[in-house]
Amino acid sequence: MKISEWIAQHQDAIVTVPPEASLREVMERLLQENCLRDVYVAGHDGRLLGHISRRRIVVHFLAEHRPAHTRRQLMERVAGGTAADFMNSIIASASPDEELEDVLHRQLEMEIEDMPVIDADGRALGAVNLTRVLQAYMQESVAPS
Amino acid sequence: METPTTIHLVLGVLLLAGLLLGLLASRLGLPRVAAYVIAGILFSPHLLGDRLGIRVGDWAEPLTTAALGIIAYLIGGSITAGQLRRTGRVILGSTLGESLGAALAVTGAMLLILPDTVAGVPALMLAPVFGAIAAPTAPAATIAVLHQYRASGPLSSTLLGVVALDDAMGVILFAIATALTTTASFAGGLSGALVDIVGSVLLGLVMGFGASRLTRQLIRALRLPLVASAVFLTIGLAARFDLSPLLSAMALGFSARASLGAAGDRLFAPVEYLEELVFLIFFTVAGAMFDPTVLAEYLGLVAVYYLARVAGKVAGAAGGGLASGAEPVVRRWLGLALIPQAGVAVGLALAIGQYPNFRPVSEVVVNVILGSTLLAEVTGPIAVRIALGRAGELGEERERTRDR
Repeated sequence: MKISEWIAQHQDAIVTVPPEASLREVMERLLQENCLRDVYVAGHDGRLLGHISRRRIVVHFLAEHRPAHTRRQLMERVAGGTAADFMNSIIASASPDEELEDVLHRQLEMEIEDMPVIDADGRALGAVNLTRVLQAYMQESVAPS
Repeated sequence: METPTTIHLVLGVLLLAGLLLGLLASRLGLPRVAAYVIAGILFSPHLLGDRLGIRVGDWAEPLTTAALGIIAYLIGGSITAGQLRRTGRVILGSTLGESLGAALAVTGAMLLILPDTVAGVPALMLAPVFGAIAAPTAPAATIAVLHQYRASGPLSSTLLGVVALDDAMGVILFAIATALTTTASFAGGLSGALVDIVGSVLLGLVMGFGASRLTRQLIRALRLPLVASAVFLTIGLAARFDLSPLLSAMALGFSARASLGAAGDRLFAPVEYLEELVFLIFFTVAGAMFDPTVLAEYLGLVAVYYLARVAGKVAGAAGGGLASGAEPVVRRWLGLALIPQAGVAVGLALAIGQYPNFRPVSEVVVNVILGSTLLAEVTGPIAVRIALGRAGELGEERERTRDR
């Protein structure tokens, strides 16, 4: 199945925040979602600029409960910053004309829950959500042939 | 004779003993660092070492240099220019004040009490090295106390920033001290030091930029090999061209992180898991070099180093805080909370052996720093607790954590 077909059938949007969003705003946006999601940073023209993993945000806000920190975690805790400061600007993504199987392979290898699907201009068209793929896989595997 | 088999045996015995004693210390709520040192001391020549034929030989030097290179890389990669801007004047001013204060106080005190030469090395060369080693603070012990007592307030937040930054000051001051004192004349030393420092930083910046470009092409499993090759190549090139391996490795980390931004996780997270192994190597190897006769001869030096370091930290933190506009409670109590000293200081002491001019005195430096580290690890957490208590920032105590 092509990715374009998959996103037409499954309307999963990625969670986005603007680059100037504070980390508190990022966390609040994250908590509005019903399931565990990563957050993407999108510019005002809709282009994806970066990615912040859910775990990174959780660890930042619960930092005072960690008995040990690496120096990097310590500086992040002290310096804080905006979504743009925290985002990883190297984004793994899929294009609409790829095969779902190839994208899944990458997603599992890189442990990405939501793989954004972007057009040629870098704007998000949707996402391939691993849990959604698992649901489809289970339904298919238990359905009578 | 040291065959590869005996080297592996010695290293295996030291690491296993350190690991087991460290585990026991964690269960008893004691600092692991002290346990690692005691494990090393058990196998020093004066105790079990000579009887069992266990001896730390010349092989330890390249091992500890590589290990310290990894720590310097992590220190450089923990800081970005953006974070330095956002951290604010108080933390930066206090860090500069306390680290320079400790370095100057220890250098001055050493110049006063050292004889003209120690093992043939002039006191004028040796004192600044002790000063540089005095600058870093051990973050682990400090954070453990903050966590245990749920401390919060201006002193606690400034303390977190300062302990994150002053390891970098230690590496920079060490590079300057060794560069300045390894040239024959003072004028030659100044120009030579400038070339050494600029060259070291440039080498690290170029290597870090290259490593960050390569990482975009690599799958996850190849990131640690990339970092290892970049660190080893950088410290090797630095040594080949008489530059500072540690400063180069720190610039490598800074440059790689700056090029990757928050994506720097890729090149740092896998290496951070190695930090405990590196400290285990430092402390057990340094412990195995323990010599009670050297320590007894230089016990006064240990006391002076320790007291001058504390005085320098207290006065420097107060001065730096005053200049940067810190609250009175921060200026008054920050220095007392910066007594812990551990891995970076011991690593720098071990690194002194790689400089031919300092080689005759390396045993003295290692033993003095080891003695003062044990003292600082015992008294440091108590001092942190007192400082936080006097500042009124202690909260409800948690159950004692095992993970110190």
